[in-house]
Amino acid sequence: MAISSSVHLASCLAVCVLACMPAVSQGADWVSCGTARQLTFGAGNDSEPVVGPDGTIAFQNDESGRYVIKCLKPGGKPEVLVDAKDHAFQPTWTQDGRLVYVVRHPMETAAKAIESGSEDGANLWIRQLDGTQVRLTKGLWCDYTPSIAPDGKTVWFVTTRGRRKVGDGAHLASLDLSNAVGDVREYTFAAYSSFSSAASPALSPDGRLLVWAQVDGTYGNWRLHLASTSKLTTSVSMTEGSMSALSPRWSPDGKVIAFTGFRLGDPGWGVYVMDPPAGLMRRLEVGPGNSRNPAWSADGKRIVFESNRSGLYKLYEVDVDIRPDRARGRKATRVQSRVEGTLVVGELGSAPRLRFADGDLITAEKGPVGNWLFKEPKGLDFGDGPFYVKATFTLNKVKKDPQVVVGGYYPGMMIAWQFHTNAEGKLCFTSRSPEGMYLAANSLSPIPLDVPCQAIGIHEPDGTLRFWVEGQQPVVMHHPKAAFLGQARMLTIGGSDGTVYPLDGTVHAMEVGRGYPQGVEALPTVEELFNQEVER
Amino acid sequence: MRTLMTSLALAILAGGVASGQQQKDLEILALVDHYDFYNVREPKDRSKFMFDTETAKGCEDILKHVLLTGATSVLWRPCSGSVMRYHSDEERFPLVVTPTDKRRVHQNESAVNGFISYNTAKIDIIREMMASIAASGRVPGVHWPFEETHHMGWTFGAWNLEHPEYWGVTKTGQVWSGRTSLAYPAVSDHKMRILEELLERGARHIFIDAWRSGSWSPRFEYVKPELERWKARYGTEPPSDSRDPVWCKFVSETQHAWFKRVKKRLESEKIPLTLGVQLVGDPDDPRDQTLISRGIDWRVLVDEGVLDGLVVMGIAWDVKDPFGSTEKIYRDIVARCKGKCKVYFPIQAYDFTRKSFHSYAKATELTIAEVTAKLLELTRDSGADGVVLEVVDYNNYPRAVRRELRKVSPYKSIED
Repeated sequence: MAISSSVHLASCLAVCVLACMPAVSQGADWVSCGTARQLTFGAGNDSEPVVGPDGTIAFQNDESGRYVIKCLKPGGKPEVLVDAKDHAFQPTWTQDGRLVYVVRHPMETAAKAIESGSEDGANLWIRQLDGTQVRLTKGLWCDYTPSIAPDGKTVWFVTTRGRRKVGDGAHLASLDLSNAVGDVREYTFAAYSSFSSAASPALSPDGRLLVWAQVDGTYGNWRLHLASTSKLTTSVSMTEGSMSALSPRWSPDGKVIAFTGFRLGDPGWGVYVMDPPAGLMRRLEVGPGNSRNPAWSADGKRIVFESNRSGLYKLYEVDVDIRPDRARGRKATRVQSRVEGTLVVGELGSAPRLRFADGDLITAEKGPVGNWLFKEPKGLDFGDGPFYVKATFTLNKVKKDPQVVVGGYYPGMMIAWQFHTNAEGKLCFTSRSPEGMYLAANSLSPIPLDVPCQAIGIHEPDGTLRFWVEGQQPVVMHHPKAAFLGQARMLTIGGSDGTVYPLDGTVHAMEVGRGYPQGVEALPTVEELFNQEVER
Repeated sequence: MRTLMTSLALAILAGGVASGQQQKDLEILALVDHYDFYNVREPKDRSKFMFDTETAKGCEDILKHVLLTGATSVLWRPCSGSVMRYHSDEERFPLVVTPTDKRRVHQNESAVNGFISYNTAKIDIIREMMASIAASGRVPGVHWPFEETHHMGWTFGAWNLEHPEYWGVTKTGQVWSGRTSLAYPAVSDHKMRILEELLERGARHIFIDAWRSGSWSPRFEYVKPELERWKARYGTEPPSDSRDPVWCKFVSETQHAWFKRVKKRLESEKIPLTLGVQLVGDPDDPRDQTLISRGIDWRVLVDEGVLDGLVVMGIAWDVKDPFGSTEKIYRDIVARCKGKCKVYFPIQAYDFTRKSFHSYAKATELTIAEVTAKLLELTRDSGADGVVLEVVDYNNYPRAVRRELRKVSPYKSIED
């Protein structure tokens, strides 16, 4: 497929950018499936199937009250493959027939494990071709949801190592399978912060893209994320925040992703397939009950999954006929970046002014707590498009109460977006969801006192907040959806629109605009990520 | 252990109750989230934990500490959200063990790395503790916050995850696993089965904490049964603002139906049903916090005789007149309840709402012990039945405060 110059737009500076909302549609006839056939029977639940190159299915079974790993060869009966002292689960095949899996090591209590200095948490193991079982990782944390890279040399998984705070989830990691214990590479999200977690990373067959499930925020759903392996910190959401999506698996040809999903109106969990560049997504009609954890056969013509239609979860398979159609590729919505308002700081003590894109200026009114109020500012009607806020300010003192640096007010929506400090001295960038709930991204550390500090916050249409604070790692929070912003009622500097939350400090510069500020890359779109892959 | 607790209780009753004849003692409801004790270290050896919260001994030691407050009822948390703290059949499948269910996010507390697993502990914690509390002479009960969602690791309960079809829905159509709606009979039945599990384990006081459950909100009630019910009644789309009082009142009808179901179940065994509400100011304010943020109208539940007790978790007192405004609110609430149910007022240790005894102390320049004494006096004078301690953690009610609490308790002579 020809690559348009839009591939390179991501690195261009705020000239013409792409909105990255994953506008996924059902599509009509690009996918169909046959009738599901039951593969496993008997006691216990069978789940987390994976299909090996020779068609052997590995899965976990809980008949004994703990998980063991079984395998089912074509035409055969299930056999126990791994029976550890505690749970052995989440198997994945290597291309040469070895099996990587997780063992949750037994512990009397968590406190005793800590006190004894135990390094036995939930860790990765490998079953070699001769049946011997070798431990791959150790530590009193959780390494889980492994998958093998197409080259067979690396296992991708998520880990909780180093995550020490309440709400800290798991982050991405990889391990060179040629090594023994240790030598794990960890990849934190740009979104690295509390209340984010990942699961089920899977590398595309050509090894250039990584897809995984990620959940952000207290009220978020699991969503599928996609990133280039060369830049894992810049990921895009492939599924909308309104649905729950987990367990992505690439089709063998790398064109389609199957996953577990639930959308409003579904009868339960379902097997979904997605043709990302075409923007197509479809729930397969595989039968009643919850259907989860799809796994592709090596030829891409069958999907194995688990379903509880008989009461217990058992494995089923279904023939699928999928015809990806890249010609349907979505037309990305282009948003013209533009500076809409720039603060013009006055002489000492005089009122600041706000310059609009058309050159007009308005003068601020002084607020009751030394703050400045710009009433009816023009051009801040960002609708459901991306916008940004950029400010340079000095904070003199940390206070228990928030201190507002800059805030945007809209009819019916108090503080639709703002920069404010919190009691820890961190800077927070907030905007709103369609329900009016705050969406937030906080700086990872307190901002320095008594020196100017620059911050840039970008609000993406899909609810993602990107936030840079000078001298700190960027923060990205993926929220389910963002509010629609009409004409602004007020823009405030150095405090709220009333008598509260004054800034003990000075705002030196401020700019707000639609799209992206100069010098900041737009997020790549799903299409761009796929097309980049094709180009290479 | 239980014999020891019984002896302790008898000794206390012998010495304590007898000495408290002059004024009627107050009931003291102690809410206990025993998870909060997991990270208390031994003072002499910081590498050791003082309470192993997954063991019988650890839980008994926690109870001993709680009883220092003079508590008359101990209401133990049966769940962290949907992760049960006992061997629940409702929340056992699939195996809820870190990290076998990859949908569940870890509770990565630094000390225990997410490995605390109360639902698979060797003891059935609720059964064990209900028995121990009863043996101590106190009323054993549960402090039940339903799906507690202020940490996402506590959001994803096994039952919820198995039943996305009952998940809460926002007005924009976002589904969310943190909440299953009581508008579905299957959800109501599920909660009733949990209630049965709690009763069978010895709970003799059911305290439902509507406040602690951040997911319990009209925001997530745009589910099909509620939308259809609204349309049938009003012939329109429901308000887009989930805090619209009309919508909240409408939603409350469904919540109330479940409370009535619970009440009916508990009535025959004379087990009290109490409800925790937050930040009450004017009890006749139509934009009552619990109605707007939870879709529960406590006033209706009181009027209809559904509640045996109203637990006011927080008072919206005025910083300009801390005790005067408190006194007025206390009297208004007691008057509003008209003797239809017991009323409990807060002795708050945590200052999330800036209404705790620390904030009173700051506003009045009294010590927190003096503030406690004053609040107990106001509680008694208002005609209320007792106080609630939300929640009793390790020494968050310091010794001086505990001393004041014991003065109004039947358990006055406990050595602390």
